[in-house]
Amino acid sequence: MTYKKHEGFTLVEIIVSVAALSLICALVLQLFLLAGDVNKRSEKKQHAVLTAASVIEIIKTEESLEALLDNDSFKDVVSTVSGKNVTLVRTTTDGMIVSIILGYNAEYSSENGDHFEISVSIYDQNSLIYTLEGGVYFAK
Amino acid sequence: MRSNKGASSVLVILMMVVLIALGLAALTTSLAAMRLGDKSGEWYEAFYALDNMAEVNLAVIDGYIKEADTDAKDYMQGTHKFELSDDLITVIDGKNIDAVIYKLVFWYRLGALLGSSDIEITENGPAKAVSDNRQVNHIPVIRFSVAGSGRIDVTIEIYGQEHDERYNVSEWIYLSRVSEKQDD
Repeated sequence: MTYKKHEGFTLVEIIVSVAALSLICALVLQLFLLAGDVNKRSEKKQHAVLTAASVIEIIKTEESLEALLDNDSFKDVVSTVSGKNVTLVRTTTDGMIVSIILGYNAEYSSENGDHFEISVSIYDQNSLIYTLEGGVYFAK
Repeated sequence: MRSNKGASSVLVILMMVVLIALGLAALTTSLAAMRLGDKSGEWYEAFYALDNMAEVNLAVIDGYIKEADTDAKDYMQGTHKFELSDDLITVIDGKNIDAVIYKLVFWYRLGALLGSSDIEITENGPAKAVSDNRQVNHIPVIRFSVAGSGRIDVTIEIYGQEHDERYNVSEWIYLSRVSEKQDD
């Protein structure tokens, strides 16, 4: 009976090839993890942009500061009123913190109406994601 | 018989190449989405900066409207402090003379306060003034029209400087005195 001789791999060859394969796999995995991380950040940014824009639009639909503070969207938020400057802080359902600062602009306010500078900042776990600035004029 | 030596290595290499290609594609897509998000954020910032500029100008225009209203009231009571050019009084009809004079003076004064070069007043229809905006900064055109019940629609056409974009910001202001006179 004759046996055909099969040349196999040595242990060192197997260890080296498995190590090389693991290294490449780890690098490829990193690529996917990085893509996932970037996706998450991009999603948060886009969400923050739309949230900030919608907050400014809500403010602009109101007729006065008093009406704004009575708005259902702003009723249960933490608000600080200093003179005619107002700071509102609320947390969204997905855990983002929305900080709204309404700064009274005396230069363009008169007995006819009040102009406020608006600054909306969106935070996620205390890190600032996006800030949008605008303004509103409440005619009397 | 053909040798199969090395076939598994080729398969492994091919698999790695495919995985790396897919990983790079995923990363490129994510980065593109992030750039789009950043760009979208910049667009919103530019838009609301212009919108704020329009709101500031609206505050100024609101003051002018109130001033024109006071001037028109003064003119009606004979205590006006300015001369109205004769060629403006062209659409007076007999049955509604107070309202027409009031309207003329109001728009004339508003146009003068805005530095307008073009004032259009139509008989019984909405009066309109188009300003070339010499006194109000950054806005090329402001249009006014009376929508009824004393509501004055103010349309501000504003140009973005950075992105060369054009925005229309429409606002409205109620003015009771105009309402009384328009409804006469």
